[in-house]
Amino acid sequence: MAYKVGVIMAKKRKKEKKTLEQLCKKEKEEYEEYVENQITKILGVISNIALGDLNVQAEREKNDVLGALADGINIMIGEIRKRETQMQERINYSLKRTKELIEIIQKAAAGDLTASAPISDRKDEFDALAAGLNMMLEEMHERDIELKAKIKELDKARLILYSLSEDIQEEKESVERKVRERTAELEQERAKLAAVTENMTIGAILLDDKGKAIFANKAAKNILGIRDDKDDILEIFFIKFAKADVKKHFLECIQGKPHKIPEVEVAPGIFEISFLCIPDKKNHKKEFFGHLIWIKDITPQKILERAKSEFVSIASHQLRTPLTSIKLFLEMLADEEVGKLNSLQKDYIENIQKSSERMIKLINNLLNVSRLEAGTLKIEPRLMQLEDFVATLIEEAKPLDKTGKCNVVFIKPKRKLPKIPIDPSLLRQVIYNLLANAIQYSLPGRCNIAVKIKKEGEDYIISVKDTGIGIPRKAQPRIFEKFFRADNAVRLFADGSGLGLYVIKMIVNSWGGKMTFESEENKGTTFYFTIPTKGMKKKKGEKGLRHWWS
Amino acid sequence: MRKKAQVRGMALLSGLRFVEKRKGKEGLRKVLERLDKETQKIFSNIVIKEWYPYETAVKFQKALVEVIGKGKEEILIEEGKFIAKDNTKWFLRLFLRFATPQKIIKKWPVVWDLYYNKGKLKITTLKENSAVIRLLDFPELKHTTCNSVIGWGFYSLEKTGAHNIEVKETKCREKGDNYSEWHIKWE
Repeated sequence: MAYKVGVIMAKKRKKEKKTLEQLCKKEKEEYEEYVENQITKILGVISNIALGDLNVQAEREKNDVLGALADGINIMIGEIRKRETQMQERINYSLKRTKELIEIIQKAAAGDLTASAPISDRKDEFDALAAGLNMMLEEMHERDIELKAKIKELDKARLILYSLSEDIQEEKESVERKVRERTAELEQERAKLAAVTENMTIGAILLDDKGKAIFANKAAKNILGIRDDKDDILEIFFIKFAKADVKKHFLECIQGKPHKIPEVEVAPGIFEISFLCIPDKKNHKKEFFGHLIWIKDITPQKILERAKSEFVSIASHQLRTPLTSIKLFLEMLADEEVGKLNSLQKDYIENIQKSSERMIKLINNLLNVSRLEAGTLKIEPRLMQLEDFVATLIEEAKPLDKTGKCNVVFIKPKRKLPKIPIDPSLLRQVIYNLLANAIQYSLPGRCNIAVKIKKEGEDYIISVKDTGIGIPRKAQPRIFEKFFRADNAVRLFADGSGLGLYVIKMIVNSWGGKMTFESEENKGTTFYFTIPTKGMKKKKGEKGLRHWWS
Repeated sequence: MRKKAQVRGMALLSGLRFVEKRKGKEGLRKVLERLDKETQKIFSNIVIKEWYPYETAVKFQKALVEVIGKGKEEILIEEGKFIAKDNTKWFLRLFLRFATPQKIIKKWPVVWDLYYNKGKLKITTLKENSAVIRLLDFPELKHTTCNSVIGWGFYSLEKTGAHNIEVKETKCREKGDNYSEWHIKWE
């Protein structure tokens, strides 16, 4: 029985075991299917997320690990959605602000520069951009206003220019016509000038402002012997006229100091050379436009002058010889060496004597002029005390004062002057002549004469001052001319030759001195002449001068 | 209200890539030219995750059959294979981890939901070397889609190591059946 029960129990247990095993297997299969389905669903959700679709949700079937996984995925989806929303908001904000800025820029591009981009309280990068844009727009707006104003001005100017253009065109045509006419005139003038310069006998060398020779006319080339245009004109000029030291004068001329060489004898003739400065009138700095060298052939003129002087000299000598005889015979007659004379005869003889003396004086003056003009006057200086010699001359001249009422004073220098080389004959001629004039042209009772010596620079100045009739203002420029006499002088003293002042000026010039004067009619005259403090230089030549009074 | 059938952007994009790969840009242009303006506009800006009207895919597949397949729908099986391959680089590789034919077939209903918002894919039979699949609740379903689904399934099974795969369409919704059904065999 027990065995049976045991067997039954064993079978029951076996059955139960089998049942239990079947149950376990089923449960396991169900669970595996659950897991697989759940995972498949989760994969589906993940796939959607991967595609970017967040409108999904993982299903939570049980409160197990897979349920927790589904929860985690859902939390993750929520977070991503939140981030996406934020991102979208940010994008929307950026788009809105960008759109605002673009609208402003478009308005500006369309010409509306008054628009301004809105600025929020966020103070973000868009606000910075908007502020920058607004600043730029303001700047552009200001520029635009300026530009428009300028355009307006330009338009005005354009209109003016347009209206002027016609006038200008007319003016241009007029100017062109004038230029053509003027050019033709200038061409003619140039041709004339060329004809003149090429045919004139005076040689002309034109130099630029730097002293470079730019033109020499035909006469200059002939004088200088230039055959080839390539020759150095200036160099040849310097060599040819070397004896007149032309290079020195040329250099001085370039510095603005004109000069004239009155006479230089160089084969084949005698020439006068002038160095001239041509001022540039348009230049306010007083610079030179250029320089000009004139070479004037004065050979015929000089030959004529010499012939004339020789003629005067010869003629004077020929006249003087018989006059000397006449003078001697008249003296014999006047002294009654050949018989008594009645009073009428004495008067006649006296008149004849005066006339012959005047003729001798005139002839002497003419001879002096002839020698001075010929440039052959010799100077023979010797060491002398100037003030002593002048004092002697004043004493010698006293007999000229026939009335004896002239008051002659000599104002000597404060210090004794050193001895200097002086040609006494020439100095006597000058002082004697000036004193004679001073006495002759002073009215009776009003004859005060002062002779004065003073040193000034490199010269002694000797002055002879009188209180005579003076030289009328009108006559003053001509007072040193040959044979000229002022009207008031002629009225007072009819016999003058008009050679005295001419001769003494030439004498003063011959020793290198200068002669000037100051005068007022009816008040008096002062003549000044100079002697170099170094004295007079010796000069070889012909005879000295004849004293007009001898 | 009846739910309107929609297709996912990724299916349309892979379809475009299939045409371009096969016939180049010129071929794609020709296919798109066959579409109406509205559909062309949709195709000008497709987004992967977005849903588009189911007709969009149908019109495109029909144009594809005309231009590329020369009137034969078999080209759509190739398209389905390409879409599967194209999407393997993407989300599909998650599912291919379960590397047995049965397991991948079990995932198909979920994958269907990733492509279409309508229709229920049901595995009625799943054996060691065969399966029966039904697509239910999709009255708008066109046969062009069926061919594409066949191509898709073919490729996913191949990727699990199955070979000598046979897919037989036993029912077709467009031809008047209540649902579409496929019998699948493999070794």
